[in-house]
Amino acid sequence: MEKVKWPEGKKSAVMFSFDLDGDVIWRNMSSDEPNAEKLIRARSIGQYGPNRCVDMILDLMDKYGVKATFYVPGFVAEHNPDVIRRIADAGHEIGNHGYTHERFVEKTVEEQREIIEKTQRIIKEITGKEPAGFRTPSGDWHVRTPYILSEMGFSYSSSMRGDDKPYYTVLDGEESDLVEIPSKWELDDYVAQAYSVYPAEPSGLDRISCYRNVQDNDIREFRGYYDMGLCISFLMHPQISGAPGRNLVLEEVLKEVTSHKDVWVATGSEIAEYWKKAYPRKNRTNDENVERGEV
Amino acid sequence: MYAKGMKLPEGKKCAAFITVNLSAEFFWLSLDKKAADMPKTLSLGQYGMTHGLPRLLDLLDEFHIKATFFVPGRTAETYPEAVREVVDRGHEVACHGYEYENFSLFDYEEQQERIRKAVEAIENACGKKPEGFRAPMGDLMLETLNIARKEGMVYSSDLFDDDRPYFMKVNENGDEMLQIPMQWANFDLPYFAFNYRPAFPAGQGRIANYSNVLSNWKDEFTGHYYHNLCYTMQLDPQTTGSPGRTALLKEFLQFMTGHEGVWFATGRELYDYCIKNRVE
Repeated sequence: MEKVKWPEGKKSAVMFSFDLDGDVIWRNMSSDEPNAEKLIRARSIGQYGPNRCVDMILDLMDKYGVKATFYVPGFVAEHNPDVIRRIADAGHEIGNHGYTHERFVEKTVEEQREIIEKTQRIIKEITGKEPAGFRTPSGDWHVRTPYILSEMGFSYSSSMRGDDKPYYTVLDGEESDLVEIPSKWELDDYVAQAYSVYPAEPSGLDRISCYRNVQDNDIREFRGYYDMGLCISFLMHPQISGAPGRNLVLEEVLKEVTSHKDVWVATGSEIAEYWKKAYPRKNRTNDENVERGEV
Repeated sequence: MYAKGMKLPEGKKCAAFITVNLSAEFFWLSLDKKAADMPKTLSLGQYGMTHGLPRLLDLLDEFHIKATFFVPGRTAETYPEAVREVVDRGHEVACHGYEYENFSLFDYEEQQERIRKAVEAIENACGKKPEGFRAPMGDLMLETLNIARKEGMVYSSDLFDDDRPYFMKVNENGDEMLQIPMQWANFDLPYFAFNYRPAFPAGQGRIANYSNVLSNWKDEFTGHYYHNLCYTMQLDPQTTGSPGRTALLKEFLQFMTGHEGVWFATGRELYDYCIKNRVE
């Protein structure tokens, strides 16, 4: 396989991304329980993210000079506008993560469009800027979701699992301008570490993982991507990796990544924009070439 | 710096709230009522009271730590002498529901009745009314805490949304309790409890590796210490009380007490400090 070229001759790319899900996943999980609307414990697990963990993560990102990407459900943004502003003011990117962490595959095209637009409006109102990136919340997106994203002018999505580097999303049999920056379950701290007895997370109620074992996996994956010159997207959650102890793991990962001077650490938008310049899609029209000043 | 620590007594680096849940056999009965006729399953919980608790009390003495014991009413009724001994050895006793029930399943009246019964049972056992509350496994509602407050409790330790104690409004009149939040990772039972039927954990995950658990506890303590937070630990003698795990806990207590400026506090001590040093 031909090696991917990264900016300034860098060897590989890294994206630190954080899904700021707040309590929406926990609300969704408890929605069929008795007294669902009044429960306070399950939700508190998620509220820890915006309440406390974002600040822990912002400190670490500053310490290692890293700009990250935060994907935020509109509902969480609405309830924590100050937190969102703080993240944006610190120079990190804010992306769209649905409104209440919906499973898009279960929604109609109209509903999906409303969800995405609503969250765009909410985030723009807080930060003054519409997100350019989208990450599909839990589960799969709908076959039409990428068409909606493309029509709405999103620059990229970071939703899929099937590659280790960016690519153009194929719509109607042709590459579109919607870049996909895939991540993996093995890079997801929620999969590795989220835990609650009631409601049960994971659903079979396994054990709480050893932090340092998770760190070992993360660093091994990073080294693998680095050696192969690919783009690793760490998919983390403030409520997980921002806790005081798990923060130590995140710090070790940051130390490892930033110790390599030939690694390009970038936000989702930066990676997508670079990709469009360095690897223009095959079927670009002449008008698009003119627009980009390449004719 | 974005992250802020908690206000602490002069010279202290972090608070350590060591708590013990005496769920005994009621943990298993809460999973399945039929366990009442399963002596083997019940013996898992009983072991905590007969073997785990004495070991734990000795360990706490050895490290001069005063802990806060959350006691279900049924435990107080079944093991009054054990609960009395906890108090006699200088620890604090708080309320952990009546029979380790999931409070989110009940209406207001039933929750009230259960909390009243628990308070009465604890007072009968040790002569003291509980001043703190922790809802057992399951969820809870704001009204649950409001009932606990009306029954005389001033603090509660139920939620996961912070790493510092904070005052929490528990009703529309603005009445408050001190909430002392916790973390799943600093609780021994989810790592170690195991049974086939009733099944725990439901998916029958293997018992966690002890050294890995110690590594997590140390990491969380280190993080809390470094950021000046309140480290809340939950222990259940039915899981911590085995010989090997007692040694594991000892190693952890050595690690904690090897740090300077750790403020070991009970729930009531945290409440008294926080009420005098309120930060809004």
